[in-house]
Amino acid sequence: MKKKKLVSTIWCEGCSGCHMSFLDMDEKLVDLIKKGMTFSATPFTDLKIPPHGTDIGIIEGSVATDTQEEEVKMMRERCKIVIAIGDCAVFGGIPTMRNKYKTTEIFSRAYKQAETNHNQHLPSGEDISKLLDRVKPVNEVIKVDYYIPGCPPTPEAIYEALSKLIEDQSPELKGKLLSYE
Amino acid sequence: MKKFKINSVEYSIDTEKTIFEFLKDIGIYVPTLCYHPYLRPIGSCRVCVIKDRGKFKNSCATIIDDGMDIETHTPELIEMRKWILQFLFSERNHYCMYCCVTNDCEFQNLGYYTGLDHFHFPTFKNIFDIDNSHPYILFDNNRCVLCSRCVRVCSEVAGHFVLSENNKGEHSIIVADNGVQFGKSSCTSCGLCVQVCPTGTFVDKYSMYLGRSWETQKIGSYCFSCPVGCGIEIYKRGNNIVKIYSDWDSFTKGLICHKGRYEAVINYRKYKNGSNIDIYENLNKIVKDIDESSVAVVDGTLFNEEIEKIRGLFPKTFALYKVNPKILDNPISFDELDNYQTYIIAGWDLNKEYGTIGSVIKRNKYYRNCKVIYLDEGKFEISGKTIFIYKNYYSSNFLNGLDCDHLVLPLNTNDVGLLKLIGNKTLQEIDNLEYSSLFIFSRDLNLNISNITGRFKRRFLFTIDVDRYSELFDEVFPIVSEFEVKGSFYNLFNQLLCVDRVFDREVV
Ligand code: SF4
Ligand code: SF4
Ligand code: SF4
Ligand code: FES
Repeated sequence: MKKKKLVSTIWCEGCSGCHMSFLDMDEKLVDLIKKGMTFSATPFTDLKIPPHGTDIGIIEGSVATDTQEEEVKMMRERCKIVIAIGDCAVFGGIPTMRNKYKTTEIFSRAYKQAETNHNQHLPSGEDISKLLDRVKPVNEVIKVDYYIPGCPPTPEAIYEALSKLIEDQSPELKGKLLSYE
Repeated sequence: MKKFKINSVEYSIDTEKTIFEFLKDIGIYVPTLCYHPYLRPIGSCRVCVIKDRGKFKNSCATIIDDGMDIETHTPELIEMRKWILQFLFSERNHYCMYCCVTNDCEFQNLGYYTGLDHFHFPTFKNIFDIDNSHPYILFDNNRCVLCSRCVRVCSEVAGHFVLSENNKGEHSIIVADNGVQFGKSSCTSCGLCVQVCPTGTFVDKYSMYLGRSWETQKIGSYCFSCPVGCGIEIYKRGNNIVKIYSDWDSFTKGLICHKGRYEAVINYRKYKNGSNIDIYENLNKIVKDIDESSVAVVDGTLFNEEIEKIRGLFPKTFALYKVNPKILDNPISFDELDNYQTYIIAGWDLNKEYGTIGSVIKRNKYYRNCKVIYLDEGKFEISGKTIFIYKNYYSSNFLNGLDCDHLVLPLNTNDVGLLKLIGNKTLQEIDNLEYSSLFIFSRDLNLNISNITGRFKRRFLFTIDVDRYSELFDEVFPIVSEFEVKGSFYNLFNQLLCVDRVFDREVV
């Protein structure tokens, strides 16, 4: 019997749409499990930290805070193969819209000028992550092995990539499976 | 005869052709970006790279030479094109998912073609202000790849010379009038920059999100907004016009102006509702009201077939205004406008009316050093072959005896047809008014009719803007817009142009 492949995922600055697409593989997930895929830190287990020796680490979302920076570095340390999934992780995505502004301007707009915020209180405290000056795609922080762009990528594209990796082959997305829209 | 090889196959030609043109002829696709089939190639983006005897060359701007040994799709070239694309996607904002041209973008398609699945170099390096000051066009330098197609089309084709490149390196941007806000610049809103831009830098505000090109149906037609009758392509989706582009293969060779591209679309959307009954159907309704004392008045905003039908129904049909009969002797074709050394202009503004004639003249002034004279400038001297271009009845007496061609610009689109079918006799010229009911037919949105309606007992109007004149008339009937008719008209060069019905009548 082939060696099992352990998969973990994390969710940084994204909308969870990519994880939804991941779950939308539906019966194809069973197919992947039959082929030897097992899941650790994923929506199935609700674990947050990937175990050491994870085979495939999937990152959704761009890197926008110091915590996320640490998280993606941890993924690189603990996973043999890292995949960036979705336009945010691959390119930076929607969160990069804020790169046009300084973080002080963003805080002021969100907490001081926001029409619904009456106490005008800036959140503070050691346990709150700090915004980075710029939102970055994952490959600006760590080395990424494979990319599945798309907003969100289709379940078919994710399946194509994982089913190739399970066979120790390099996935290459073409045609309808490659999309940035 | 030049002999050369492409991917080891021997070819020969005896004409001058670029490598890209030849590859296209024999069905080999090489991707391009700065290249545009109707603009002068500049070979700046390098996406079309090929290899000839060990040297990399751009195929779009390199002329085929004897002895060339060209490779087009070696692994090395495919890899090189990928890297060139990576450079082009770097520094700026090519986050497609929040770009209004996504899924309808030449540049994005190149990404798909080369299999680009991530950015290798940092993006969003310099952030430029988005210019939203133009009435029709959104202008966002953050998506520009500096292919300069817009600069070239604005000068070489449109003759307006508004756009240019500014700054250097990663700070390079496209600017209007050397850095004036787009909406305050000398831009005439011909929209050609939007039409040729391969990215989401120049986009039509009135078209965005209404349908991608591939979701629309493209219909070839002629512009009915002025008597030039430029060749156009209408992009329709459902019962809406998404956009109008100029037709490169028509007699106007890709020229267009703000009226044909933008105003026609805006007016169509404004007046299409309720006007889905054609002129003939409403005519049937009023046939019983027509007797010997009825008179019809028509203008050049109607198609030939409509004028003929009205003329057949009424005992007497007049023109709404006087059309200069000299338009029937307009001596030249659109192409021949290029053949003059001096252009004398009177009664019209090169940048506001008959826009594409303005384009031709401005182009010739710059590229052929021709002279342009505005009659109201006073004293002038002419040189070389001269043409006097004036609007309808501009008094030109003092030019008599001057050795030059005359080109009359009529007021409305089908004034030539009006003259041919009705003549140029107007109602005002008749003293004894034996007519008691008046029927006016016009698509003109600025009708000037108060001076003729007074003397009639009964007054009927057929118009597009039914609410506007209702007080002056006993009854106002809607007529369909020019996009809802199949018909023909004569442009000012005396060409008979036929247009198809773009929208079928909704059956109610
Ligand atoms: S211009 Fe084209 S490539 Fe650039 S973001 Fe827009 S859709 Fe994507
Ligand atoms: S709309 Fe026409 S005149 Fe204006 S910048 Fe574009 S090409 Fe030039
Ligand atoms: S604005 Fe568009 S056409 Fe002009 S240089 Fe930039 S990408 Fe090219
Ligand atoms: S298309 Fe040939 S260099 Fe740009």
